[in-house]
Amino acid sequence: MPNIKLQSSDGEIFTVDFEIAKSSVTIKTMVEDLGLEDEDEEIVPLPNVNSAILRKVIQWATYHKDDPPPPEDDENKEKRTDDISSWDADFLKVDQGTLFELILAANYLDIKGLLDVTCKTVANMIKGKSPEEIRKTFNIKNDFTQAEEEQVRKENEWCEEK
Amino acid sequence: FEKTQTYYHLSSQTIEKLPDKVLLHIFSYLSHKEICQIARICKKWRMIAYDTRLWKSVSLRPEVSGLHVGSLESLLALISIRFGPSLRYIELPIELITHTVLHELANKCPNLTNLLLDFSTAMQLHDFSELQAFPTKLKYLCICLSEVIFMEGFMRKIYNFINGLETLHLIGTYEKVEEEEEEIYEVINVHKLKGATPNLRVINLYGINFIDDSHIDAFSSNCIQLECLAVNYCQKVTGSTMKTLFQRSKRLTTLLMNQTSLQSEYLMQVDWEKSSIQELDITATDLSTECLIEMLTHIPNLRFLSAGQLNGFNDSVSEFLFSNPCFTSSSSWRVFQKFSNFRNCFYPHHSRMKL
Repeated sequence: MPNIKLQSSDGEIFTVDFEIAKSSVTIKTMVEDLGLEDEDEEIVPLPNVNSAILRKVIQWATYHKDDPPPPEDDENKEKRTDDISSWDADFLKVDQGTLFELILAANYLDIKGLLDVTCKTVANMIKGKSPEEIRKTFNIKNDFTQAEEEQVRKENEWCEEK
Repeated sequence: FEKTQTYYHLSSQTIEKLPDKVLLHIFSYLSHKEICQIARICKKWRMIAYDTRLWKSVSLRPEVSGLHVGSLESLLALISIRFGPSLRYIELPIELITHTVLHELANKCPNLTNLLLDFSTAMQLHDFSELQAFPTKLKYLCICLSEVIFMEGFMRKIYNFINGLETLHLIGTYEKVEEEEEEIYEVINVHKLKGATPNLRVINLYGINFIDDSHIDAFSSNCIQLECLAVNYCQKVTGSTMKTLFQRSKRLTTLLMNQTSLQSEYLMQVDWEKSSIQELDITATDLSTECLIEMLTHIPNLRFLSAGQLNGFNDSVSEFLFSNPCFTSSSSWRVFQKFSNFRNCFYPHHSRMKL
């Protein structure tokens, strides 16, 4: 089975090399569970991913098709966020909405490499900002009452680097 | 192209719509200081920031890395509320090493396997006479010694809890000493310690001024699993017990002896041909040319050699080495002769140390 057909939520059909589509654990499992390996005409529906995002995901997976499998997370190692490749950085120069849709797609399709790099990108948007700046950046409403705000400040006041 | 255009107008995803699991993944890339900051953003973020899975590995040594915890009360609260069963690794500075803290860690953090206790700035040891409990699942223990504080009052209380240890780091004060000190104190009793730690595979004694060959002998007599021994910057080490070490520790693959007082005659007594050594550091030692040729041409499986600042390593040693087909044919064989770092060549991130 060299190719597989993927259908986005808005009905568009993408024909993709199965080796590339397999970087999604979700698709890989679906194909194996449904015994589609030998089918050529079968279409795999992806109701949670629209065509624009699916196109980007396929673009990412195609570029990264020869990557070694991502290493297991090492708990004792501090995670880095400054190791995003320049191709990925360019690829992720998108508006916030698209970035979050890519994250949701990577999460749903279970593509660890894409999920890692998109989450790192968001982490980098958080780093070095004050709480107020972070709320502004992501348009988050502060739902604490004044008393709660004081409480949460207290809960974390120990947490300061000397 | 048209589709992409319309798409951008439709995309209204916000960070608030991401599932908790994904936010947790994003937060896992932040430092603990940053995680404390983002707890103040909104209720949902606070809840996720306090998820114990973000607090598996915690350093509380602000001078080195990590956070400053101002009071014991704060730490005790954190251990039970925020760390709990997720905690695997913690670094504590002297002021937070008390029997109540250790009791709390023992009771609330059953999965704690890695512990670093930094006594290096201690002027006086806390009273540990009431210490009754200690984490029991430790695989990794690092103790940063002070020059003057005798550890036995503490150690005698923990011997019963540490026989599962596989990795032991004892860090001396080599880097702190500015002048020749007048007196050397044997602040930790290696002969008792080795009796409590029969399962050690990795022993790193770094820059400890009193460590000598008898201590290596002591460990080797009780730790038959030993795979990695490092005595970098322990300047009393001469190698006089190396022969016995190799007779006992058949699994020893890594031996690091940077900046020690090795004597050629002792090392020439070792039966190198039968050793399993793969990684060797003899940087900044006074080994003779004759000894180097004897050693290096007889070790069958050497993969890594660090031999900088070593006058005995002259052209005739290189010639001997590179004319030997088993070295030249091995692509992974690396010699760090001229370029090896003076300090910390392997410490503390050396691969074998992380076992």
